[in-house]
Amino acid sequence: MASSTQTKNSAELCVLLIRELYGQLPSRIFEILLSTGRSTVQQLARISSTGLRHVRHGLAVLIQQNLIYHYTDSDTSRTIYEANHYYAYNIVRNGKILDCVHRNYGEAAKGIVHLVMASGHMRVGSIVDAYLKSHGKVANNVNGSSEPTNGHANGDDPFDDSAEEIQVSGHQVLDDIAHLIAIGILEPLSPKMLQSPEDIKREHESRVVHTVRDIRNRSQNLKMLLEPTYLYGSGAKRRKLANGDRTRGFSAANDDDTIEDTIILRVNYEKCLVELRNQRLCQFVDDNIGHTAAQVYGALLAALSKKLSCCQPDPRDDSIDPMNPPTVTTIEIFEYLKLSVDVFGGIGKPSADQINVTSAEKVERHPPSGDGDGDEAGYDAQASIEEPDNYGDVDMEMANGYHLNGAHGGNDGEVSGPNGTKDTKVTFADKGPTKAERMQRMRQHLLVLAESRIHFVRHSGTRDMGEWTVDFEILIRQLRFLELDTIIEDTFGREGLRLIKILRAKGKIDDKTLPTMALMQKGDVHMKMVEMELAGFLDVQEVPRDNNRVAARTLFLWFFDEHRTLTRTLDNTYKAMVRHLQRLEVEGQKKKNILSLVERTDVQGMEEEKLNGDAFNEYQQFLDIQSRLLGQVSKLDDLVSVLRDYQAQVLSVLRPPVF
Amino acid sequence: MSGRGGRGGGRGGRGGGRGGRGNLPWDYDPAGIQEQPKERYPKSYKPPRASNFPLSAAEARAVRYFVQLRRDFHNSALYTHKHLAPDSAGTSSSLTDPVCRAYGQQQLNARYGVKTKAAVDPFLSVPMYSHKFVHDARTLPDFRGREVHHELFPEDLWNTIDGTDDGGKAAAKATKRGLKRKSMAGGGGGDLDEDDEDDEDVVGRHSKRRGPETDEERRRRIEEAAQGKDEEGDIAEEDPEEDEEEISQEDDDFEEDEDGGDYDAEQYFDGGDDDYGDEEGRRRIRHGLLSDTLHWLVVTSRAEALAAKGPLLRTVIYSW
Repeated sequence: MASSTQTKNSAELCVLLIRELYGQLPSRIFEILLSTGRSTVQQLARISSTGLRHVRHGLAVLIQQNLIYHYTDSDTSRTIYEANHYYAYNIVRNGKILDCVHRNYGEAAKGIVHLVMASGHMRVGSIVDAYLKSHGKVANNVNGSSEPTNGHANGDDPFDDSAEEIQVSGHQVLDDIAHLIAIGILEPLSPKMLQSPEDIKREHESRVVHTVRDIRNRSQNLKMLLEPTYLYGSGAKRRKLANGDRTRGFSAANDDDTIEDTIILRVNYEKCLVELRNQRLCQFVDDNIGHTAAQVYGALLAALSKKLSCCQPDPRDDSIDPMNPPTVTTIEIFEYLKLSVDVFGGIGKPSADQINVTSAEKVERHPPSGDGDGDEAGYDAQASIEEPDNYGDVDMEMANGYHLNGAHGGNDGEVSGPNGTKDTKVTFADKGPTKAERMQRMRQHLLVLAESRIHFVRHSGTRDMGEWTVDFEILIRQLRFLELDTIIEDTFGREGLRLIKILRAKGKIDDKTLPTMALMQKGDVHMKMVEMELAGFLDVQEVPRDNNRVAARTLFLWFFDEHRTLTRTLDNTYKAMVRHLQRLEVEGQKKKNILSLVERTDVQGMEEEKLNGDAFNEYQQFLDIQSRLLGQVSKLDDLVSVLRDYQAQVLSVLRPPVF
Repeated sequence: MSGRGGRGGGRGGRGGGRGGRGNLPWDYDPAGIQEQPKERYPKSYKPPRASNFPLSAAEARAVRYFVQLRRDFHNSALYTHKHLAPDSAGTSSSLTDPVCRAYGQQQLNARYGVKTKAAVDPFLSVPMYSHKFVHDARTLPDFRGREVHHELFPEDLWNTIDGTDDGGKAAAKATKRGLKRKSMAGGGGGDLDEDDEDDEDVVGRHSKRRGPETDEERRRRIEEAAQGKDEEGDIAEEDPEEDEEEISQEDDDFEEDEDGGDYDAEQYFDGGDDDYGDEEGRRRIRHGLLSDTLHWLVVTSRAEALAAKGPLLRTVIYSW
């Protein structure tokens, strides 16, 4: 969960987002809820001095969109409403999430998520209906809200529509919905989930401790049921979905009874955030190492994320052991690697004697502690243990992938052995490299990633050709520093960045030693430091050496407070987002005439034909401005995600890694 | 920060021998500040321009999807329109300034305006063909004809999501129409008071039940409500026009005068017992709200209410 402290700017941002998407009435109610905290309808009406009827309608919309918690006390039957700013903030990510779903799971999945997003939560039956209706195909097999009958749904379809017209059937939609639930992007919604965690906790305090998790788990039951088929089942199924090449009727038939028609679904933003994080990390690898490596890394993260339900696991949840994060094996990763990825590019082929195999293949069982010295010792110990086992094999593998099969004839069979089941489906043995070769090359990419100073991947075991895991905490922390560094460099120049990096690496430094360390003139250093202190990035601590606090006899220690800098930067980012949204409103007002024209039902959707030249140009201008503003907001949101959401802010004394 | 400044000043007085800069070499030097008016931004500050950083394909797609989503929601019945205050009211400058100051909740609410007949732009209110393409500006979301899941909403809101929440008007009309008149005449806020009373009723009903209810009971009640909803929904569907009329009526003061034409002598005698022949009467019969006796009650209370308005009216009434 996001940090619970709300600043003025973030509250304002949430309100603006709601107003932008859901209209003025809910936003006004939400604003009051944010500023006053938990309230009843009567209180809200009094504070807002609007009628109860308005308040009730506003609240109803907010609940429909999952934006508030409500809790009815069973003794007094008084209902209390509470703002859920976490959900409200997530409105800004809607576009990004839709894009991500589109890219990873196809057009149909995006359409479904769009529907669910637009209406907050939705019954499975209505999703199917609405989807079929919006896609223009007559739903001849699904009538009303009744469960689709299997009878004539599949009768004529599989043979005639393969060419260009993709006929959508109710089953297919159900199939897609099931897939989305299995991934976790859609989640079943139960009334308890609309109660604030604190309320649930208080209600059950005497009886159970981990009730919040229990309730979540109960809603995960369906996910568990569907997972075997959609995630862990035969690779063919998933691949079929990914490629959009669908034959229907056989696999989908047994899902109808699993997903009841009456289940209510909503978008699970926590899982969506995991997907967004994957995307961001791939970008990170792309910037640092290369495109092919990024694609391999994407496969790794995709495989890993089916074991992760959210970015910030609840620290109270003891089922998650921070020392043993989930791992994936090379073979699992390979399943997720798209066939289009050319793993043979991106890595050079040095001769065998140039590679230190021991160091390249070393296995780190535990996440690095962040302390430089301890780290190294740990690695060495681990490496020396692992060394005898796989030294011989590894040598040849690393030397070059192509010769591997010739030299180690047996190795080939060994590689394809564990997943012999898949050989029937993936057949590209006749053209180009074999599967084993591909996997071997992919593994080398993974080793490169593991070797990097930025800990992209940790090679944590040797089962199934190697187990891999990602220490998100360390990785996101680095990403965070990267973003902060960019901001600092843009604001204070390279010297400022240098000074801050020194402070970060060394902790608190006396102002006399700083110039020598930074190899800068004393005056320049002081100028920069003051500048950065005024901006709130640095602070100074005074330590008097004796009782009378004379400046000459006082130590001045400069330091960089990571947490405070993060919070300040976050708040500034919120403010920037608020300004952008306000600007958007103003631009809308300026072009009000044209926009009211565009909103007419006969113009909407075919602006180009209906509007005359000038009006259309003006409309285009507005669209341009709007896309710039919203685009910037979403870029700022990327920053917020990195700084706040991808990983909990840990107030640790760990020294940040320098890179 | 201010503490630092103070200390620096003290030092300046003491350590003259050290030269102008003071003891701390990095200390902020107030002498360095030019007091001449400056440009707003320092020259060195070059803000990045959006045109230099075009959106990537993915970002552009994300924006497009967001806009699409927004449009879909804005076309749905749950959207309440952003700006309702008419431009002609001299608020145009404040509308283009989104951070305009508002003192007190009243002003804040006024920004969203109220849809009344008084606020209608006479030049655009003439029905035109093109109006059928324009969405009505909504002040309240419309839940009628929508699929809602009662179990997810608290009981307070069930009427609202069924589309039968009329702010307690129906009940109020049956019992205390006279009272309403009085409070209306008493000035603003009457609406709110009445709602309050209505809600006390609701609370009272719940508290009568005594004791916490079990899950079974709640589920049963939810089911009942869901079933009842269908019927009520039908009723509501039947005559949306009428409801609209009432909505617009309650914030329209002028209509009240027309409506209460009881003091229009001509109409009064004209009407009498069989004034149910006219449109208004038919409406009342349909509601089953107003019996003969109640009608008289209204007349008398109306007289009282009017009497409160001022001496002028009172003289009129007395003379009559």
